[in-house]
Amino acid sequence: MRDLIDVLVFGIVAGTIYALIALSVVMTYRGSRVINLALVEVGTGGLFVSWWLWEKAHVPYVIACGLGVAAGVTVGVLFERLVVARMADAERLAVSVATVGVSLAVFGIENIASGQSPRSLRPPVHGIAFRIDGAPVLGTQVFSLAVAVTLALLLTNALRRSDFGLAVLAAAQDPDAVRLVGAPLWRVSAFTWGAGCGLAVIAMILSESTVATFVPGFGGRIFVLGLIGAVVGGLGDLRGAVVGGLAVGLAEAAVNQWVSPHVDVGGVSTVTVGGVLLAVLLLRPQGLLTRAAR
Amino acid sequence: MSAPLLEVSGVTAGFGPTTVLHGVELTVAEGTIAGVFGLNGAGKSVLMKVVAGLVPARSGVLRLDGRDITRSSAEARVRAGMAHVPQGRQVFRELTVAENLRLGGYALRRRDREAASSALAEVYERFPLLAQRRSQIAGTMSGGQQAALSVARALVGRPRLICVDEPSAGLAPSVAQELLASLSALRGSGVTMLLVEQNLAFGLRLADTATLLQTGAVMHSGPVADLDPDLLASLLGVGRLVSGQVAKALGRG
Amino acid sequence: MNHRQVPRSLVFGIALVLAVGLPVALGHTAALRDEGHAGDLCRAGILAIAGLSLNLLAGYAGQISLGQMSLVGLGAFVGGTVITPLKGDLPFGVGLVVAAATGALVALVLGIPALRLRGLYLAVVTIAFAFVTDEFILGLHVFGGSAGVPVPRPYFGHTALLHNADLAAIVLATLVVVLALDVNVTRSKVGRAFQAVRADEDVAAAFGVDPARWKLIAFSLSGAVAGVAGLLSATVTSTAEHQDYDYTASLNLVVIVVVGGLGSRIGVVTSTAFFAILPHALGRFFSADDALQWSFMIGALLLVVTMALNPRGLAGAGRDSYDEWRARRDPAFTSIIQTLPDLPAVREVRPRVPVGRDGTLLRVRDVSVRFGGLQAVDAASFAVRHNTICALVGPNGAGKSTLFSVVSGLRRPDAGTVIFAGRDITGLPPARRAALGIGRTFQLIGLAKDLSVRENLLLAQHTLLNYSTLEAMLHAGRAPAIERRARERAADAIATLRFERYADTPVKRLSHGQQRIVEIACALVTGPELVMLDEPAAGMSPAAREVLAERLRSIRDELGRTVLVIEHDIPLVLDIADTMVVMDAGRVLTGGAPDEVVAYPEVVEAYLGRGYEQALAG
Repeated sequence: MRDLIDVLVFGIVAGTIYALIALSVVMTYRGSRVINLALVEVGTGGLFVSWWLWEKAHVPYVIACGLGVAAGVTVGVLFERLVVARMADAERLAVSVATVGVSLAVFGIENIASGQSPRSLRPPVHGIAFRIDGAPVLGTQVFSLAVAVTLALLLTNALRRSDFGLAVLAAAQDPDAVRLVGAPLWRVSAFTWGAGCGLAVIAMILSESTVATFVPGFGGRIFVLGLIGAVVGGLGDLRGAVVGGLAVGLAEAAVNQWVSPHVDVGGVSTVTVGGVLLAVLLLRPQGLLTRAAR
Repeated sequence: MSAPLLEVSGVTAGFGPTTVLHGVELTVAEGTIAGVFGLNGAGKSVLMKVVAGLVPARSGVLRLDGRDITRSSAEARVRAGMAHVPQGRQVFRELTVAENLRLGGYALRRRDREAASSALAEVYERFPLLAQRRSQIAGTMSGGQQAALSVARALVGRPRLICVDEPSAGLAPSVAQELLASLSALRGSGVTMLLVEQNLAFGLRLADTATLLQTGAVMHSGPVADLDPDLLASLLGVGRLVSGQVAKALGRG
Repeated sequence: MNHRQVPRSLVFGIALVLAVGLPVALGHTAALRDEGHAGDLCRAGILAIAGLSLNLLAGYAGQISLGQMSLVGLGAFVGGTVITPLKGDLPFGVGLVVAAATGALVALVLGIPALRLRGLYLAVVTIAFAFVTDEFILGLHVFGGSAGVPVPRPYFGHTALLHNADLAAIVLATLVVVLALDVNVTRSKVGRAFQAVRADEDVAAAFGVDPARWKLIAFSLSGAVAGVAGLLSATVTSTAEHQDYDYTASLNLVVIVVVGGLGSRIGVVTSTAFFAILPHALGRFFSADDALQWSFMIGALLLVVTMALNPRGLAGAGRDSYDEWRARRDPAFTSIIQTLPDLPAVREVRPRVPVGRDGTLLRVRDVSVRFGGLQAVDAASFAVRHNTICALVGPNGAGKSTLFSVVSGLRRPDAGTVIFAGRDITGLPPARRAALGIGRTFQLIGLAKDLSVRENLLLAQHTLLNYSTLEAMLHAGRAPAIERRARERAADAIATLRFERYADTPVKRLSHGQQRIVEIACALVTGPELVMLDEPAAGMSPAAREVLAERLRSIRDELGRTVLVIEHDIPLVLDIADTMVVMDAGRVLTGGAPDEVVAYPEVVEAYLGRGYEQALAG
């Protein structure tokens, strides 16, 4: 019983972060059918900005975090305007490869500015929220889950409330058709890139508050698992992204709890999650939740 | 005859090394339905994309209501009064009927909220079925209903000009019939329409004027009533097979 | 073709001697005596080999991998473990073979998902592969955890090669071998098959290239080269350490290959040299660590700029501007085809297919195809007699092109059979059908558009080139002679088309009409028994159409072939067809002699559009 509770708590805590990353992957994907491979590094860059403002410039925590998110959004929008917009006719994979450059560039800037010494930002919420059967659940963890769920609901429902939001949802199906109803496609695309990067910063701020320290490139594993969550949920499905991210977190926690101690090889949970990814891609490429194939 | 609403003069366009349109001339008078006909590869759909602003014209001028729109973006042209019924009844499948129609009114609502809501009410009146199903996801509707929705989505922006791209292509015959019915119903309501079509029966039934394209150039252009059936038949590659039928379709059999 | 070219083996031999001789000589005299510089040379050479391995996969076969360094790493760890005195203690040469085999095997397994996944999804799998491999290497005790595996220096006779300059000789020799392999691959059916798969898998299959098989070959070949790079790398650093081969390292490799130019070996090697020198050049301004970081950043920005300007990298940009310059200078490049050139004669390059006693070459029986809710083809049946022209007509969306795909094997029918020359081919993959003698064109041009006219004509002969992949890679055995004959046929076809000036121009630079002609020539160059043409006259001028009619007749009368053609131009069809099959809404309405068929009222209705009578009434 205690085992199960541990798995659930660890799984949901990690899964929440994966879900946020999955959400940011899907957000960008919907606007331009591109996987932004720089998301987590841009997220980490935003985290660095927040940390610097808070630690060095003594800006209040909430404002520092807000500015970090704003920095991420700016990078996303700039990249869309300067690069993605010029690649309207290029293969989608080529645009994804271009994001690799952004990832490496942000990584380089972080390294030059800060080096590999670990930094830490204070958690958004202090202390233990409650205990389940003795297992402590941190306030931050509860807060992260609340943020992820709220953002997912906000993105799926609030977008439907405005004309612009509808254009964002419609763009996933056919960008040209969006232009033909007179909606500004470029703004839709810029929005999805900005929102994706902003979400990634939020994810990294929350993940840092559970792992306590960060260095440039610390989010690689988080990105892969979030990306897998996005694919498992069906790339392009916002709700599916949250479910996929949580599923990946739970699978990882379950393997760590019940399998890894009995196997004399490292990385079992990553291998398992990778296996899940392959199985989903080969058997249900449209994702677990999406009803029909396109 | 009033001044043309759409004027395409000397338009040349293509992709990469290929030039598809060679100096195309076309005018659409206010309140009329202009048909553009031709075989596959004649350049019909490229012409439609040039008019829509999805493919740039290499040379030549496009005017909408006297205004030069050659360099305008597709969005700006919609704001200036164009609407589109894209090929293959492309509605937004993941969105509801009401959401599809809201997107159709995107440009108008920014200009005039009240006009947008009264246009929506009119469209619902014209298509009572859509009014009943406004919260249904568009992708779950039948082909004919989606076709009606794609026409309704174009109308809801109160356009000056509706561009209809190959309405019959890729549709089951019964669906094409329903689409034809939706479009025919617009006749006489003062709507101006540019129609690109390969299916003669479909096109000739709707159009007031016909422009015949062959390998990217205009071979003939004039009122449907004055069309020479033999010319039409030979240009469309149906030859002696159907020239008699074409004459009938033109009402001169 | 220039037949007085220096033999490939001679160039290769000289390069090999230089690759070994120069570092050894310099290492004992001048600049390379500095262990640091010689080490840098080694690293650059290894990076070039790794880059070439990625280029084989991503540049030629179009399968992008964001985890290529993991394959290099596996080569380093497995190869290193095999030769380290503490564990395997085997000779260096055996280690190289083991490293290559490891890389090939793992890449082969990684390639299996690529059989079903394309583009972004495959990229996601390779990212996951990079992370899984990294944790796997770290977690395996035999690989020493984070300490890694110590790797000894190789021996030459009884002398250990302690100097980096001597290692550089080994590295550069390997680089030369890999480059030679690369040249042989690209100038044989292997490279053309890779590029066809990259261009369009359906088109590849129609040319007889089995996409699954060639993808797996590309993966394993790339993996083998990556594995070799791995063991060399671990030998130079003396230890195999996992962080040298992680996801970030893979991304940096992508930068090198993409900036240099996917698909260009010269681009890759040049780009590697640039990125090897860059940190040294920056070292004047920054500390060594920062200089490295700055060079990564410059690479990253170059990657972004490259992708935005020309996704085929510096080499691609160079090629494009050359082609554009040529096209601007020569108006023939963009002209509309007013008249058709002669089509290449069909040479008897393979035994004729025996036709059954009833003279039927192709029989389609009760074929049905559903797309989602749409019945695209509905129990269609018809037969084509040997040595006739059969026209498939009907309005857009009638199911004609779908039926073509069923015959050529690109689409499995939900029901029904396809019989070719008395043999049921319903279950055969498209590549096998091409080999049996079914050639086809596509409604949208079915060519590998990045390849030149000549290369497309060679690609079209894929099924005739019965030399092995190994012979191709070594440019030995049957390969040179067979390849030469194929080149002669291609050159003949180009001469007949009078396309000499475009022979080495990428097909995408030609006008639509020119591309169509090249496509038809490709369909004819192997002398297929059944030539299937999907709207060959689309976009052609009336004059060109008349010539096309003549050409189609000569395929039947002079070459004795059978033609199945989809065509909208009814006068053309009436002119040339022996039989006519009319389709509407997925069904075959009728078939028979054109003059009789035309009399059917259903046919007229299908052509004018259903409901034309209501139209008349209204």
